[in-house]
Amino acid sequence: MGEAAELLIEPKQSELVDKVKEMLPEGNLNMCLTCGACSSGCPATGMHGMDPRKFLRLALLGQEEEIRSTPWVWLCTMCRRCVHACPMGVEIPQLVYHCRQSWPREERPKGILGSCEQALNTAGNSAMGASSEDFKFVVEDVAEEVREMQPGFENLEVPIDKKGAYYFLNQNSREPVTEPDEMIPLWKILNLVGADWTYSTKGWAAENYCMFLADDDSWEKVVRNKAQAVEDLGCKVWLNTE
Amino acid sequence: MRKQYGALVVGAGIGGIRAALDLAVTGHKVALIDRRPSHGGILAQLDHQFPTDHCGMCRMLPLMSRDSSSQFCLRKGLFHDNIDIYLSTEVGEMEGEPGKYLVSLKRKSTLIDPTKCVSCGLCSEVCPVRVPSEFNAGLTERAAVYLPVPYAIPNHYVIDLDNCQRCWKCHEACPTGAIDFKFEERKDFHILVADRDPELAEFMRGELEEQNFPLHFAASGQEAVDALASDESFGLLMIGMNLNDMDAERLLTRSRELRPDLAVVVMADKGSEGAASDLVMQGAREYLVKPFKGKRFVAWLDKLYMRILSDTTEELEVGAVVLAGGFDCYSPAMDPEGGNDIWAYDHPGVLTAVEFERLMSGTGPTGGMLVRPGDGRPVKRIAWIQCVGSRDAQKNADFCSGICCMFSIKEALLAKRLTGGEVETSIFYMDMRASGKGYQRYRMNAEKEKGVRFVRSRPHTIMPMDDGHTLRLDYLSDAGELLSEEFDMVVLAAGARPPKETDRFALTMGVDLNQWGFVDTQPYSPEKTSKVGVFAAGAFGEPRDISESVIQAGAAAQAASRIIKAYDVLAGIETEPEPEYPDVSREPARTLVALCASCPTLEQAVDIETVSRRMGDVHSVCRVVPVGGACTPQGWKDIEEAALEFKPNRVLIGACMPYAYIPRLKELGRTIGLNPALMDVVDIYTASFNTACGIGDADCKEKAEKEVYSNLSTAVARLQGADPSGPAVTVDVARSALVVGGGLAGMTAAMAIADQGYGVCLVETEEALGGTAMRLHTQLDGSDPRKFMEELIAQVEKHPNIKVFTDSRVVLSRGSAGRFRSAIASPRGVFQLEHGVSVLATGGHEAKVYESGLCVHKTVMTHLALEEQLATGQLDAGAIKSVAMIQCWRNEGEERTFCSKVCCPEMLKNVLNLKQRNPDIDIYVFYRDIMTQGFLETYYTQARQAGAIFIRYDDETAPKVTFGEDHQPVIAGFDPILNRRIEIRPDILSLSSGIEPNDVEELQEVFDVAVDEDGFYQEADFKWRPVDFLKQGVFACGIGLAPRRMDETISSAKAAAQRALRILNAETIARETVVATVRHSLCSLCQACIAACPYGARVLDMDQEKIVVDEILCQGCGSCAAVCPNSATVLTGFHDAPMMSVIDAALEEPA
Repeated sequence: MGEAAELLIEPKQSELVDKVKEMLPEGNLNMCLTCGACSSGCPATGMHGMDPRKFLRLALLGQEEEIRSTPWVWLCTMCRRCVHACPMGVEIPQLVYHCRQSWPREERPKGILGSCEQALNTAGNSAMGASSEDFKFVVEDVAEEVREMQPGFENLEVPIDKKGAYYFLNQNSREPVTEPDEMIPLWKILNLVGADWTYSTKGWAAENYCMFLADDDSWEKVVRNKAQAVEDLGCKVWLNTE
Repeated sequence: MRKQYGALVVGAGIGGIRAALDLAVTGHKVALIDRRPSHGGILAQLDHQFPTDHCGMCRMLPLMSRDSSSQFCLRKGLFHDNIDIYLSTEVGEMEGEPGKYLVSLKRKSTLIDPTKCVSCGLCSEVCPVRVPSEFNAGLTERAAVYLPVPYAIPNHYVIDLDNCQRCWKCHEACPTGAIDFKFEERKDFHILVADRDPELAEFMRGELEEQNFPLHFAASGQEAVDALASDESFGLLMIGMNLNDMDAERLLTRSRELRPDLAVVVMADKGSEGAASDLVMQGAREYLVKPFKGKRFVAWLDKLYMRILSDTTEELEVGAVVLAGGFDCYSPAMDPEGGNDIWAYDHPGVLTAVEFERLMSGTGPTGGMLVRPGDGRPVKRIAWIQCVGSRDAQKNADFCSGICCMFSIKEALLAKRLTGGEVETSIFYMDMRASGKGYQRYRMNAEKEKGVRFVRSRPHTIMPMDDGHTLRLDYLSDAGELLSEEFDMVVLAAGARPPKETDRFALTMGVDLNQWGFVDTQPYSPEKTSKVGVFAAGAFGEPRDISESVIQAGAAAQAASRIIKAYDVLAGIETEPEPEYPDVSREPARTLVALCASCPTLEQAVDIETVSRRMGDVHSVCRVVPVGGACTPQGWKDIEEAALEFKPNRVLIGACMPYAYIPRLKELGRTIGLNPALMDVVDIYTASFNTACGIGDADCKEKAEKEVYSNLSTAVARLQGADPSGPAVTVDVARSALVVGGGLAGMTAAMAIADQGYGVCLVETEEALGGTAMRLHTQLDGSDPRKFMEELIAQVEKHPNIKVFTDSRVVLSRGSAGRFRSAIASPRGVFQLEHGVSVLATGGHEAKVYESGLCVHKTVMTHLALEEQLATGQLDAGAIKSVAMIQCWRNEGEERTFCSKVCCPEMLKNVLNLKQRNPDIDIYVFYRDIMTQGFLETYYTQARQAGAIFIRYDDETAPKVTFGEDHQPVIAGFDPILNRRIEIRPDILSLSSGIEPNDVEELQEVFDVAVDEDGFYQEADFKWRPVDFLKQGVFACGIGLAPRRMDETISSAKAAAQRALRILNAETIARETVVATVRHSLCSLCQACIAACPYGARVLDMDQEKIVVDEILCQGCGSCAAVCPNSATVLTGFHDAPMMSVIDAALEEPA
């Protein structure tokens, strides 16, 4: 039982949890068997003394203050490993997401908030704040280097804003900014298989921190900008490598 | 002419065998079929069963008229005079109605003639094919010609045509010409191809040149119809979908009219597969999509040809049908990701439970050594993961397989035993569902005594480590810490799924399936399907363990025999009386030896003349006659004539496959007037191919001859000592039953017996019938238990064959199976009763709760009381805010090591009832393990869905109850998930107190039966004879046997009735050929034999100072003779002196 056992809970109702339950298929959150599979596979288990099963249990017992206040919700990577292995398919990530939303925007973690703001403020939606000009320059520069230095890839093509290309490729903006060489392998593959693809100077960044921020409006805005970019170039398939 | 059977049993696993035997011993002819080429179902693969961790299946064999059945290992083989077994057989069609179902069986040929195959194995040696072995769950490989089960009797090789490469090597290798690929008949197999495409005709002519099939082409539908109307014989019609004048459907219809038996294959164009499969539904055999590829097409057509010529159909007429299809084991490979996303199923250290069982088996891939099958690495740490593929809503398995918890514990114990306790075993589980009889104790023993570790946590993923060897499991500890451990082996306790193609099977049989794909059954009649006269046995209606499957099979057999009786299926079929044979015990033995020398293998290995000459010199042999093919009518006639001529009083036949001769010996006995017990058949063939001699290898030949000689002379010596004579002990059966207990079990058993036309005396101590079940008002499945009980009581009271004594008890019962005399004390005086069987259905009661304020506070009640208050409206759910429930409630200091099994469903019933009436009500349930096996699991899911909160507790964290103002209960508990104390202040506290058996101390003495340490009746064998007592003629059912829900109680009562009917159906019970007797002059009364007798057939008669053997209970196993220090106990036919001469003969050098 340990020291923590001194804490006492009295079950009650929680408006927040009821709201989440309403949004999910019947009884989904309630279906938990408390088997622990979620927590066994969660990378955030144990941080801030929390794990997915415990988080859900607090919710079901109506301990709203605790689930609203724990910073653990911001450690979830939304990887959905918990749901994948859950025999009941309990949507813990959805619960986490809604708890994030219940935080005042300005109190949400600075890193995520800042990244979302940068994306909103750049034409390429880059969380790093990279401008489209910089992106284009780096890509062309690196591509040129490959053509010159790497035998067999003298004709490597890295199209940007190519109208009518079949694939529209997004690029996580961390690479062009900090590790430009990391972009090369994928280019090579695409060239070798003869894919018809293009980068864009608009909505080119693959990441979307506004989603992790649980800011639905901004999330949507970013996605719409990217979708518009795909349409502008008349591409058939949008490849998001994130 | 249709073959007539009382019943058809589909599925020859444990459920099917039990049902078939139950019907067979009551005198019904049974057709037992299985689509596999072997009998035994999954049990053929499992060597060990808890709680004994041995096998024990043979205990299901008939106890009376033993000679009508095989009397050896039931896993190896089953023979019964009344059972015909059809393997590799499925139901093709069924029509008709209860009492007269017309069934057409599709028998898949194994392409090997079982009357010719001598199981030498040469075919398998030359076969180039290797596919995963079904028997070893894929851990080893087999050839395309193989033995399905290595130890079966009879054991013939079979050809798996689907995987055959058609190299014909096996055909060339077979020494007896048993393999028939129908080479000769090809030239007469005319194929009519109706297709407009001239290229197709050209293609077929070219590709099929070597096959020699006469091909006929028709470019129009009319041409094809004309050909069909002609005199030409056709073996196959192939219909294209491109005919101009007639669509394929029309041509198919015409061909069905003109030649109903002609096989038709549709040649579909790409894109028209849907239409083609419709044609298959209308009677086409299959369809093939164009364009055809040469090699594949030829192989396909060749195999189809062999199937058409070799496969047969069998037409039956049966009174009732029992479905015992069992279940398939879930495999992670069934998942889209092949089980590799989280279970790392392709890793050599990850096994399913069945694979692990095979690994533990002596006939398994490692001969029973505990090493990893994939890479041979040693195993020091094993983990089991429970509920893989069960209790999983994401995999359409919102049910509990009900068997995995127990088999995992058993497997852990087996692993411990195999390694002298060294291997570390951990079981990761959610709820440990040990709710059967004695299961909890088995689990405690595993944990406390044997060191099996139980971890209540579900690992997320099996992570193969980089070294390629170990497997890592991450899991949450009880304290909420994430722990990581490495194992050498992880066993996935994969549960049960409906057998594959059950949906198609259900369509054929006309029965409904439930939402999980198992066959749907009726409330209060778990053996009834949606179709009258078709019943579900074993685990086909719901996943069940062996004991429950056996009971369920008994219930299905009872229901089937009721139909057979009701529709008078057997009218006009006379059973032949047992012939009487002359007593030859005073005559000197004269043995006729007939040697079958027709097969080439024997001639190559031994010189028949030498063997014959030597046998002629053996004591008591009066004649040795060589015959050409004992298995042929002519050969048998030769033996018959020789016997009539030489008038022997012993007959010994040397041939192959001795079991095949059992029915023939009986016939021979009738013809020549000699008891078949004085005849024997010995296998002289196996020795000949064990030593497979090269030409001119004299040493080898001598060795084989010696072995054949030794086998024969041993049998001669054994026959010499055989003594089938002796006084005929027969009991004239009193054809009525005494049923003790007028609750659900007793009434059900009484009805089942009375409906078969036998009188029943039903004795109940209370003033009214009904028992504990009368306390139920609702059921989880929505049915009305009160209505059911009231109707049942009315039926019992009105039944002309049932006499009810209420307020009465049995005070005396003497006698043995078939004839008991009992005394019943009733308010009207003491009655005497003669009856053939007794059924004890004395039931149980809700355990008393003394504490927790029950009776003091109105806010506290038991689950049963809560149910009643809700049903009667005494309690208004709308006025209640919250309810707490405590499962497994025990009074202070009270210990109970069995699960009452009914309380979890009872709790769920109340939860769902309350939530239905008032969805806002808060419900908290404190529990140890939720016991909702099978489809009950879905109600547990529903209860959680409805919002009930379940809080687990154990001995240290059991909730404490105090009371606040206004009698409000205050429950102080502990939530292990949060690791915090939890306090609940509900309006109502409902306790589950469990079931206790009624006191039967007096009845124990009256009926001379035993109870177990918990006070429930002690059955003869928990798994294999679950409703029998050791004492024959006395049976138990219902809660008196073990806690049960209503459906299970009904099944046990019907199963017990069926066992009882076996005795009542017989007019007399005859003494068996082999039973034990005591030579009192040599007996020192040490009583070692009493302890050794597994059938309880021996008692010490204190008055006469004698060991007395009950000749009806005795099964002739010989355990007593083995332990007797003075040779005072003897088995007829197995006296010391003859046994010594048998041993002498075995060791003797040939003259």
